[in-house]
Amino acid sequence: MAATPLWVLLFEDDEGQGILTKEALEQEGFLIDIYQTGRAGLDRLLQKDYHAYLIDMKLPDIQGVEILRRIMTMKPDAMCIIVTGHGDEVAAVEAMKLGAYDYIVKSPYMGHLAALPLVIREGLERRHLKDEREQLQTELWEHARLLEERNAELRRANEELKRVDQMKSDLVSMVSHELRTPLATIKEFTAILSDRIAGPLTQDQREYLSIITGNVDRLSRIIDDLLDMAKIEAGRVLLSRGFVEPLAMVDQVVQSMQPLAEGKQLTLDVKVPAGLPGVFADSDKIAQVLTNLIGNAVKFTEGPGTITIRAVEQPNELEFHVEDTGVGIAPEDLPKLFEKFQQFRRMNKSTGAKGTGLGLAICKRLIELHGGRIWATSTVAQGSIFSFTLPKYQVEEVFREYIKTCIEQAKRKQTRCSIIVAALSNFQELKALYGLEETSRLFKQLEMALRETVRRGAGDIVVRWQRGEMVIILAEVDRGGAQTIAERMKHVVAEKPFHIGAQSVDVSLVTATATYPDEARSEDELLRATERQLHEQDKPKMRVMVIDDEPKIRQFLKDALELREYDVLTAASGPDALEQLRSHPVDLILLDLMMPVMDGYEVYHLLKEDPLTKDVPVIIVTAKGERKDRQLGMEQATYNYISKPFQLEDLLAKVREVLLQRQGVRR
Amino acid sequence: MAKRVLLVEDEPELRRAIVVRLNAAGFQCEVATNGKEGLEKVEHWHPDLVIADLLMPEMGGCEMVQRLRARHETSRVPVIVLTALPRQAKEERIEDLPSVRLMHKPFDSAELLVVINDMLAKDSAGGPSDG
Repeated sequence: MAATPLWVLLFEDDEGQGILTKEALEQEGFLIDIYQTGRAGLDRLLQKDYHAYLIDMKLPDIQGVEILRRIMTMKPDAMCIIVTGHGDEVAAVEAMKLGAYDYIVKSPYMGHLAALPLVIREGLERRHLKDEREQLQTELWEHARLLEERNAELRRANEELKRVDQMKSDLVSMVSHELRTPLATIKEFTAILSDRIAGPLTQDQREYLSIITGNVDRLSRIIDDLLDMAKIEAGRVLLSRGFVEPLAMVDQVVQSMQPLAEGKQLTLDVKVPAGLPGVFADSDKIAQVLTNLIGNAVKFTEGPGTITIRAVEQPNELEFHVEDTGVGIAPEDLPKLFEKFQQFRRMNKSTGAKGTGLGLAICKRLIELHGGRIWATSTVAQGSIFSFTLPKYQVEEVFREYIKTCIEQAKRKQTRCSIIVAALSNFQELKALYGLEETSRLFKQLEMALRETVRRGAGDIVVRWQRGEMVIILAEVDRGGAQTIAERMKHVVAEKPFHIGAQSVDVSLVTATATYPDEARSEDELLRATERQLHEQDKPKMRVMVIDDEPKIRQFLKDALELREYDVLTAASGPDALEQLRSHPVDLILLDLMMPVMDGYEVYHLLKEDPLTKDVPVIIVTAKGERKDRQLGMEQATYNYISKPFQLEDLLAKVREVLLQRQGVRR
Repeated sequence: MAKRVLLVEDEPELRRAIVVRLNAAGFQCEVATNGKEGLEKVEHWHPDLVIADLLMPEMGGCEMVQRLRARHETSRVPVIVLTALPRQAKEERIEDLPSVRLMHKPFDSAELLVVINDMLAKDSAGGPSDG
């Protein structure tokens, strides 16, 4: 039985029927209150809630339908069951319309009483389920509403963030514009005066003008630095990392700093071994750091003296040091060195141009963006060493990480990121011809050539030497942007000559792009999307037929050619070959001369007679001393041959050469 | 005969400074204060080279260059675009157009003259235009 008693209120004017009903229900565990008039029952209703109401339609004072109406008004959720006599079904239906749960027709022998508890229980059960469902529904709606609210809030916050971000960058642009334009005017008029375009100058006037010029330059450097810092702090600096050769980079910077150093009788000594491994870095940004460090060293060192730039290899990184013999830095100043607006308080009253107070802070952030560290050591009156590290170019290992990082960044900033995969379509051939090392060198040339093209979009270039692919990871570049860059890359490569050693080589680039989140949502998907595209572009393979009676040689040639991405058919005899060629056209035939059944000469002539095969180039493979071309009337110019025993590389070169000729003819 | 340079710049004082510099270097100069005026001057005065500021009222340098390139008669006239915006802004894309160079303010006048002469030399050589 139910744990809580179920209360039923019965409106029944007939006392006997009331008692019978009460007994029937009490047997089933219900508790009953009986009222014989509508008024009494309704009054009771004001004090107590019942689980169910049984209403006899014919009460002396108030009509059953009216009682129902009042109950429903007071308690809209009440479960009312109408009890009617025979022939009163019309009123019952009316009651149902008003919201009664059910009606039950009195039977003359009180048989309906047996059904009553069931009807009530079922009704309550159903009501309960319905309530539960409704509650669940309400809760769900509530959840949905809350979620929607939260989403709207997030959207608003996001839009606000974007707006602020936009405002910030607008502000930076505006400040930059508003400051630089008057500066340009000052600078130009100063230069006009200094150049004596407006007339001759006294010694003093010249000196004052040079002071103005110096300060204008300083102001413009400060603006540059401030903007740099603002961009770094807003996370707007996007690196364009790639393979950077340490010596070349250092040399370039040192060369540009040479005049400054010479002016103070300082020697710039580069101690960077030539064979150092490359670093994975944005060469512009690292040049900026080096320029700053060398510039500081020059500023705080009195000539004659030496500034030494070193690079040292460590297990995973390269360490760079800029060492001067200058005034040094007080120990208490060392920790603050890389903070913003900490003017160098090196112990001299240097007359040189003052700094901006941001240079080293910018250096620190740039190096850290590369995943490196920067620090300084110094001894007062002896000199300082500024050092930083950069990761070695070991990108294959962390390749996926780079793409992942870029995706995460795009996710956070709600921007896009794209990758471009550029593959050398003739990589396998080049590798077969020149070896991996030479081909890799070619790749480096290619990377240099493409660097400029990519720079406009800012991106890391990761070269996958083994695969002959270059993957360019572009932050904040959408699909259209990536495709434009890819097109430009192809254009650049098509126009530029490339060399391996002294030999000029044909380089043709196939590219594919994929963009997060439009085409792919993970690094795997991005890579797969590009792979698919590259695959579709793959040129159909060249098909070569090898005709030789010697199974071992047949297999050897087949393997060697397939390794070089050729499609290979083999035939053990002339008739076999001719039969296959009828249904399988090929681009080239390798033909052994000495064969049983039908020798090479005969096969050759048959091939040349058949319109299907007469244009297919043939390379004849002969043993030394076997050549009887002249006596057979075969002009050397009409065919190619190679003598056994041959070097595999020679044969492959021949195959390539003949196929290229054929392509040329076809074109 | 002196080469003709059209200077399109909305800042009157900077305009004056550049004109003084160009005149001193032997160029014949004409000025305009925005891109629209600049386009008209190009049409009537046929300059050998145009220097245009990037941000100007009415029409900036970017749009002006695009319009010059769109018309056959002016598709090759060399243009130097001056900008005071931060480096690596989107505007750098206009350097992809043929015979367009971007210079950042404040520029060095010696450098400006070198670029002008360089572009004029390339233009008169009739060689492939510089991208």
